[in-house]
Amino acid sequence: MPSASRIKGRLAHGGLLLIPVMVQGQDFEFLIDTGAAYTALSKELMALLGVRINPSQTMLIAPAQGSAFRAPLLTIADLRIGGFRLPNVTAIVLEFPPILKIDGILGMNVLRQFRMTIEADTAHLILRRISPPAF
Amino acid sequence: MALYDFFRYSLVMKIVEMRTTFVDQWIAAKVLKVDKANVPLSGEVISHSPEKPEVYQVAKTYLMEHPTARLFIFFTGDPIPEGVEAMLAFR
Repeated sequence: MPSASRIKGRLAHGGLLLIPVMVQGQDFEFLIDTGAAYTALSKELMALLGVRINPSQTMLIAPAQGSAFRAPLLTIADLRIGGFRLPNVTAIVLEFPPILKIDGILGMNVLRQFRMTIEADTAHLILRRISPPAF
Repeated sequence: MALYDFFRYSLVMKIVEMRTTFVDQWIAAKVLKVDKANVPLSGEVISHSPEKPEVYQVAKTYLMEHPTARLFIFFTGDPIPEGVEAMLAFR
């Protein structure tokens, strides 16, 4: 596994960064959202991968506007980004409005595992593995 | 080259070419080449359509027939239409 990875993405909608993310062997384009605590996946993506949603496992979501709602919560066995493999990633499943053409959001529960740099001018996400503290 | 082979060949292209060939469409492409960061660079278009459910249905069927295939599913255009702002933050 690399110690660092420079991932080519693309900028859209005035500066949002979209990055390819592999979920259980298939690639999708996710929005980088440092304001999201959790990673989110679309219902279509989950259905494609055959991941079953346990209705008893949910998380209460308080959006920036509107009422709080419960969203299914699950664990992704294998998420890969830029050559890094992340096992057992917690994610919520959202029904994105059809007007939003996205399949997922990469939130801070994934991003905080790295020293992260967003190159807004070149549309790259650079992830560096955080070294364990030396004792 | 048979017509079918030519047609197949013509659907093999770089991901950046897919974005300009199939404007504002969902794509499901079989990944053929990746870069050093394992990001898809080129592939074979399996399905393309402005309708997301249509592309996902083709992808699902394809993966049932080719369970070891690696697909890249993405939208070629802006994920948020012009004139719309999305507040995606949730905590």
